Amino acid sequence: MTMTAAATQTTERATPGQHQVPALKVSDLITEFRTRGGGVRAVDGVSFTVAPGQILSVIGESGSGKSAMLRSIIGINPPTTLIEGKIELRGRDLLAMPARERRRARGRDVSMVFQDPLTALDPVYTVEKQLTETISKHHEGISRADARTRALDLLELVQIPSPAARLKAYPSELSGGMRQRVVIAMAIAGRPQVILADEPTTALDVTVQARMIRLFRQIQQEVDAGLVVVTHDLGVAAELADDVAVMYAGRFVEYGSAAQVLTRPGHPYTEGLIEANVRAGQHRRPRAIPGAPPSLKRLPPGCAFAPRCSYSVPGCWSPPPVVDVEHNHWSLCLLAPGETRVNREEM
Amino acid sequence: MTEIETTPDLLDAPAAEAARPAATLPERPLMELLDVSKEFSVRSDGKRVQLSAVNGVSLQVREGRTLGIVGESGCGKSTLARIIVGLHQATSGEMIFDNKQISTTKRRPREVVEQMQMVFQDPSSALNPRATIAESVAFPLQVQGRSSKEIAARVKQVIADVGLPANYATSYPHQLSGGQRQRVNIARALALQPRLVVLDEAVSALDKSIQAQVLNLLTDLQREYQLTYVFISHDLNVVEYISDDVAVMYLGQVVERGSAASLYEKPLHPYTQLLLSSIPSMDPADSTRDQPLDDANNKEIPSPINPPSGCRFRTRCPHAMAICAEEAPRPSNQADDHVVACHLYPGSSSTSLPEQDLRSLTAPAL
Repeated sequence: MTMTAAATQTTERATPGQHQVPALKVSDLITEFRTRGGGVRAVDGVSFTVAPGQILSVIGESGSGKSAMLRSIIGINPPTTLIEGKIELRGRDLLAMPARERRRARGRDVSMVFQDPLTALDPVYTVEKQLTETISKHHEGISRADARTRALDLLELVQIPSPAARLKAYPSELSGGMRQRVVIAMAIAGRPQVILADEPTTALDVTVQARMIRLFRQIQQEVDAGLVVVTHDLGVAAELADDVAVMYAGRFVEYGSAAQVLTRPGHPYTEGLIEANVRAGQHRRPRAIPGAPPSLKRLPPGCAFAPRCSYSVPGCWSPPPVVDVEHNHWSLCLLAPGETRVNREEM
Repeated sequence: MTEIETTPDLLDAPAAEAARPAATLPERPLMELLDVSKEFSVRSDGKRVQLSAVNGVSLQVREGRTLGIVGESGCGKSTLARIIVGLHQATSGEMIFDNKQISTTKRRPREVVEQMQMVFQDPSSALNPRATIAESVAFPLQVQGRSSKEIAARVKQVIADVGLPANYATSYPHQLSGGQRQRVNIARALALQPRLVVLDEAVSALDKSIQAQVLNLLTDLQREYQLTYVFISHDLNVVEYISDDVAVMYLGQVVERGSAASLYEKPLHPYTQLLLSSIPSMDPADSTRDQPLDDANNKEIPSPINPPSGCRFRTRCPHAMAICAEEAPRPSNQADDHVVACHLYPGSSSTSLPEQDLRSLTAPAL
């Protein structure tokens, strides 16, 4: 198969070079939804870079702004949404581009895989129709025969058995895993520089999920794209990601390598997420994070997590500093590195 | 809502009537399923065909314990849940509940219905948006014809039991968060003081932190009221945590069952082994992302309309042999009530294989 070479080359975790132009560079991204009750800031000043071949996983609870952030990058938020900051694809600022060029870049240079493959596909068209339509959108003037050949190649790339037969299938005739493969095939049809994925394995069975994680990795290496995966499943993040960002109330509150963030968390919120998880074999009563995420309309002053934080001190009511926990690992918390934290609950 | 002073007495009354068994025999099965099958008549290519959703399932749930049922979508676990509480009538099979035989193919007598309740996956669609929390919780009590005095007291009690503030009684579902709504569903399931609660993916739609709260609530309630749970989920981590015993289903059949500890530590069936090895690790050092995709496991789950002959897992099984296509493996007890239906193990085949063959087949190198 075409991917085996790429797969064997990357037996170790890629350490993306600092010198190359990042596939995606997001700077101070703000996404504000207009509502009758005023603006709601779903994303509040997020910055990150993803190198070609690198995987960033963004974790957090529902409502933390993970999906809104992806939707701002691909441009599918409601038209009234206010978006500020910079979104650079290989150095070209998406938001500063002429509208026509931007439309072309979105979908081709940056593509998205959604959670539910059934709603992402049109039930009344065959896989072939949907794939070739995407291909001809990205390659203007391509002949129907060539588009069909390319569609076959793509299905082979995502390892769909008997691809020629599957081209004729309707989405309802495919299993969940096969549908998600078709969605991924569509996402890579334009050879994107960046692939965004919103909970791509959440709707899948665990055995299918395990295969999809490997497939995702192979494909992403094959097309040499940067990948941003939003997930609430820390296990998926641990399996898939090079770097992990933790999002809370529209901000990244911690960033580092997957091993750093998931095994040596610097932020109390990350610690809470990890302790809320039930793991087979641990026989530990899960500990829920007290309280609920704050309303984005009325964020507390200072650290947004302070009201739920069992370590909070009076200083938490002023804006938290970015503190380096380790090399390339930071946390947006007053108490991050080596500080003696006092857990109020355990006192 | 009117305050009633005699709350505790009223609450105990129905429980006393039901004559709860003494705590001296905690290990006997409260509920037992015997060879339960369910077929649905479906249309495939314009023809009427039988879809075997549940096929010959026999299970036990011990009083005050939790039986976890795991399996992939389409394995029949939700159909089984609905058969247990009587929402589906089985095609064949019997149930023994509290030492009484109950037909699974007919409508349930009212006193049995009362003792088994169900909590569904989606906390929002399970609640009537136009009913207040108190009205939703009171509904099963009204259906069973309880007095309004008793209903008021019981509603108050269960809302407190699930950790909701009393003033939420007059709220509507949309005013509550997802976790709170699931608490309401649990309160409604507990309103009739059931002995068996079937939880079908009850925590799957919740955020991890909320999931932790609801799981802790469930274990606390179980201890307090000696509840028996059937906990159905695709989340292998959660099932291991909450269950005493676990059954693994594949294409409508139970392929392995045993205590949670022995099943997770020493999975016997190749399907259980595949499931457990698919759990994503929380440690990035154990990442499998760069392992090549192995074609052996790359097979799709077959359709329950025309399941494979013999062992239903054989089309995906790395150990499949000739006998697997010819003969359905019988459940056989391997150790300590750890039962597996697989030809790799002695007792599952009608003719036993020579021992030499078995050893080579179970070699871990495969």
